Amino acid sequence: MIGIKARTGLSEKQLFDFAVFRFQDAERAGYSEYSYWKSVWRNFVKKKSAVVMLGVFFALFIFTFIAAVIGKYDVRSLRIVDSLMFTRPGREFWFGTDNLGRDYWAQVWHATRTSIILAVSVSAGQILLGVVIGMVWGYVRSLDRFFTELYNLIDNIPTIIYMTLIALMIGKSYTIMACAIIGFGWLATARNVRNLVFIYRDREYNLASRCLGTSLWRILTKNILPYLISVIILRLALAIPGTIAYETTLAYLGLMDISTPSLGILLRNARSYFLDYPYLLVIPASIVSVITVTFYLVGNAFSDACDPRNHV
Amino acid sequence: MSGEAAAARFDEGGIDGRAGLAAGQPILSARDVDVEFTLRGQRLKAIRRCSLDLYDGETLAIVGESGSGKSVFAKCFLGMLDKNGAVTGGTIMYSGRDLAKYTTEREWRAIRGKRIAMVTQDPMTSLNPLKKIGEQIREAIELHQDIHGAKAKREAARMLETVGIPDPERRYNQYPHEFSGGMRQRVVIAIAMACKPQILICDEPTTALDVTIQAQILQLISSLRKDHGMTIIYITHDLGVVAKVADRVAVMYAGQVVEVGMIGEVFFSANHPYTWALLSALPQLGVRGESLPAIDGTPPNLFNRIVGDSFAPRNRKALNIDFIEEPPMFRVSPTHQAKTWLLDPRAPKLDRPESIRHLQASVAQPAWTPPVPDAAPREPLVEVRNMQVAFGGGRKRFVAVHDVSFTIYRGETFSLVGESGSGKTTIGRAILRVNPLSSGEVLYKNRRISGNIDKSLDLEVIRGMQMIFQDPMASLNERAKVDYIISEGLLNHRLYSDEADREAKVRRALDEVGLLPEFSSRFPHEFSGGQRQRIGVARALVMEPEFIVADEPISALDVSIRAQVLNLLNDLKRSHNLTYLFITHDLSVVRFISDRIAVIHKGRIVELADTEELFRRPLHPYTRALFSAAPSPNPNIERGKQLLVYDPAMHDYTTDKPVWREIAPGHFVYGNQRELDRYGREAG
Amino acid sequence: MLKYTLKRLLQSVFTVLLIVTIVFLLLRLMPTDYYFTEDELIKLTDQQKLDRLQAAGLLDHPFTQLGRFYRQLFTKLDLGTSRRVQVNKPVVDLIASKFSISMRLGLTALGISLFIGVALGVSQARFKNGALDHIGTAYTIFVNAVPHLVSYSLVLTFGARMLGLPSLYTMRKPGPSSILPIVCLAMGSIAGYMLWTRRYMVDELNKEYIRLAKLKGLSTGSIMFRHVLKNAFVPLAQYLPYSILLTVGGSLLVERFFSVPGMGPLLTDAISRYDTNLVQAIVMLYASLGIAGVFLGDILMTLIDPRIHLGGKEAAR
Repeated sequence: MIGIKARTGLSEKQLFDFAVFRFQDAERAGYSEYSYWKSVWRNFVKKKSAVVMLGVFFALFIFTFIAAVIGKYDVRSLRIVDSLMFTRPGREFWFGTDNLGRDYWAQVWHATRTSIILAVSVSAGQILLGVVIGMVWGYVRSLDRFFTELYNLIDNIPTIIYMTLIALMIGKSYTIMACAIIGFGWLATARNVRNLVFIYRDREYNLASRCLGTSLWRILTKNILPYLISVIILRLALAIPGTIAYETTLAYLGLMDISTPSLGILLRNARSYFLDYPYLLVIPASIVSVITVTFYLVGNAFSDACDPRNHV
Repeated sequence: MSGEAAAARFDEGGIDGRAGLAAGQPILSARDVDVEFTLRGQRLKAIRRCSLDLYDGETLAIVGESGSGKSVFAKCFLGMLDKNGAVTGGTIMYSGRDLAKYTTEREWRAIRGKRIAMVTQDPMTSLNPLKKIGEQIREAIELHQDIHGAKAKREAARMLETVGIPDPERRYNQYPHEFSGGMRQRVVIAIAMACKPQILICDEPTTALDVTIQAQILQLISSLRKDHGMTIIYITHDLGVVAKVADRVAVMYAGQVVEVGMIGEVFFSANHPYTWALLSALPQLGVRGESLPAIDGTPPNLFNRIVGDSFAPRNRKALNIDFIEEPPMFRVSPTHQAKTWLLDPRAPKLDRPESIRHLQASVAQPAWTPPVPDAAPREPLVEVRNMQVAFGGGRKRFVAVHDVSFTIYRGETFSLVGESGSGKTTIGRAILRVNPLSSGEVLYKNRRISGNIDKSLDLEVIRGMQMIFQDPMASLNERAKVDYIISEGLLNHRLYSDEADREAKVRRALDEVGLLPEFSSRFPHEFSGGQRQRIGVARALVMEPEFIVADEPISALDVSIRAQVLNLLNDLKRSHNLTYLFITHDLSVVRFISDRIAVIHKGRIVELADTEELFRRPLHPYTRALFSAAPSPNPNIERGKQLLVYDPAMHDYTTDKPVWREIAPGHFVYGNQRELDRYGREAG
Repeated sequence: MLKYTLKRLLQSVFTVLLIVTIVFLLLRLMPTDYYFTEDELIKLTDQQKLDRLQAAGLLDHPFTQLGRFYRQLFTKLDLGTSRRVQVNKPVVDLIASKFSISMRLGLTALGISLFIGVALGVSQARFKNGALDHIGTAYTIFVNAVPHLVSYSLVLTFGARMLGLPSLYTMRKPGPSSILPIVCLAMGSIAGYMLWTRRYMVDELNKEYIRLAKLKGLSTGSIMFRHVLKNAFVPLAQYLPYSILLTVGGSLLVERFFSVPGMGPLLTDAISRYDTNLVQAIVMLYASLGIAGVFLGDILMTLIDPRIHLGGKEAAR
């Protein structure tokens, strides 16, 4: 007691007097400093592997441009030279040459750039379409039946049929195949988004908006979309390795135009020779793996970071 | 009459706990226990140097709000803290061992179930959905009683019978989803009992259940204790429940026991300002038309270091020393202790609040005079005519509301009381046109608003009728700022002249609900439950409505916050001339807030009357059962009360069809001719 | 129950026919050039080509062709003969000769991966954050992220170079030459079963009833085996019949990669050679198998999860 008096300078009488009540102190007492996105970010950067890989990926992408400049051959002016075929990597051909004697360095980096751009734009297109359709599908009850039937119908036919038909009927060029992949790729995202919208649709804050006469568009953009952002980013991140893998499969099946090299085309070409000339496989395969593993890791790290249960 | 005398009367009444207390030695003794959690990189002190003794054969209730640490404290006795939490100090002595030093699962297995068992809060999720009920009990029996095979099976069936489940042989082979919530909680209790523990911890075992089921479970726990001589720790936030079951009460606040004593001592002669505040904020003790003595502010954030008395910032009569030095436990009587500087001989004398003194009188409500009939005719604002609401179609069709009719008059608070699944929320949402009607109609100011209506009326209805929601955590869009949330209605219909006007309207709405204007730029997660509920009220208020549907607006709030929101609703009613449809399952609130009450059961209104009329002369057997089950915060009343059970099978409606009839002026009942005649005689 | 099964059966038949019809009509949109080999395209005159097409009935209006197709199917249960893949062989026989190879590979791989995948997933969940868990996670990341073409190439290099296994499938040595295709098939599904077993186990472990089991005093081991494992296996079991039936269809990529004469590459081959009868038959087979797989999965669920009843309301979890 003597200690307190010395510390505060109050007499015993004052100590046992009524204090002044401050309303604001009472209100302030119970703040929580929790912020969803801050916690997401903190958890994400904790996943060192994902962050490092993301850095490697960006470096790789930038390097595809540099490589074209420093390389000795330009990808557009490559010629078939029989005498040079299967030259192993060396001073003249840094990555060697392929079965037709063309410089592999120029092809590989050009293919990498093509594949990354294709994967990113196709994935973005898929997700965009999927999110828009999924939100409408999930929120507007009267459309649920229609979209569900449509989904089942498309989903029950092997996609490879559509792809083959499109490739044979319309063409195999990159733009066409990209559009085709988008055209069938939105399904999974839309279904996922729809199931999520189901969870949020009847939350009380949406009822409140309905009582206030809020329009469908405003409800979707203000009340639903912000809750889907984590899922959208996750699906986008996972769609990129998915698209790259799909592209390699399509290329392998001969459904892609071979005149513009992509990583899928290079892998397809390597299939017949790599037991004897492993560099033809190892180089594009490692680059593909770096890209896909990066986005797979990033997606999973992000999804873990978004789970509120991990915010402890 | 003094509180001590009331307490004394209680002790002579043969409460068992006293015997153990007199014998002196506690069977479990926690001393200066600290529990810390690591949350988002920060340390949180959930329990701060908390001490408590448990005596053989008693029922000790631990009361507190959410975050008071009551549940965490009890979990330390079982080693069931979440992974990010740990006991960091103190001792928990139990049969010669210190449980605070236990670390491995192996050590704890010798305690869990065998010595101390626990009944958890949510019966819907606490049973394995893929295992037969009987097998789940048998598992506990085989583990702890050394009985196996067919014998264990018989014993498990016997346990089912003990906890009041009829037809145990058949029930043994059923799965949890075939049981109702109340029945599942009985199974959970049977599992705990099958372990034959010395101590049973009941962690809010009835919070997720309806009042009538709650009363039955409480009765079961009491009878089991008597028959098996168990010691019970009962954790709850509900003082009515405490009044019913406890011999001794410990009140917890911000991780500490602030007052502990025999039940009479805590209810009738409390000494801690927090206990006072908690008791006097109870709506059961309030007088209709007057404000409740609410507790200001919100419970403290345990991330922050707490200096002095943790309740001081919210205590209007705090002393200077309360902000500087933590008070010690003062001993009031051999059984009664309180942690407040007011008990220091140097402190000024402070009388207990008046409402607590009311508690001692058996009748909580003051004398009632019949209302003088208003001279002015009442103006109907909302009329519901033969409303029916059904969900789904075909075989899955489920009728949630059957043929319901009532009128809400301007300026009144009309309450709809019923248990979960009764259809009360559906009625509220159907009036606001969130759920469509299957038949019948809704009139607002004598115009039909159900079905298709033209645009101008639609806008008028949106502006005129608003809703306040149950769960303040779910009813605000977490990803929008308060400013947007409140002005959403204004933006939808451009109900403002310019940006400055909109901001002014938001500021005014915030001010009216007692929030600071600068809150408008924050996100909902920065607010406590009570503050969020106020934001929800402001969102409705900004539309300048005449009619508000309040759907369980306080049931998700902490006890100390409820009174604030009730007062706010009452104040706004007066200042804005509002009319409320108040939907609730909580009988403690309705008498305080409502003018008229409708009781709803299984989608049908069974009785409707003026509040006092209904409480004096409940006619329908369901209303009576509901009233008898509602816990009152007065142990004297609560112990003597007889529980009535309603069984719908008692009505024989095969030939004599039931009707909805006004049996006395303003008093409607649902029943057939024979029943109505009987009700008529009872109503006089 | 019977009524529900019948109703669902009818619905499925309708769906299959709808799918076949759509594919049928889509095929008719293709240019007829694909009907001919490259040699024929050069050698045959336009008139000769037209005559050939006319004889095959491919110049009729698509709906006439469709009517003919269904008449044959319903009256004679005949799906026609292959035109290009194996000339004039009835498509049913053609499929019959191929699916057993695919199924043998597929079922072996499924059995192996179910056993290994679930066992590893359980031990991952049991020793969460242990060394095994991390290795398992790295493996699933590798298999899921890296394109199959790359991982198959790795398997092929390793198997053919280090172990001297045949790099292509041959009918003469079906045993040893099946090993690499089976490894490739199993590699992916092991990762899948591991991932989902682990995830479902961890989900179950966080549930409230596990807390009650702990409160009873059960040890971690018996909680794992008596409570968690069964509950975690339920969602996996739903897709088991589907996966078993789909082994009939083979794997496009693996069979192409190792030149397995199975079902996998048949569909794309048939499309690119305009072998319409074969395409229709295969699509019908795939659709029927898929729908039957889902149905059998639902039936399996009613057997192991007491909350689920066919056709009735699903009880709340």
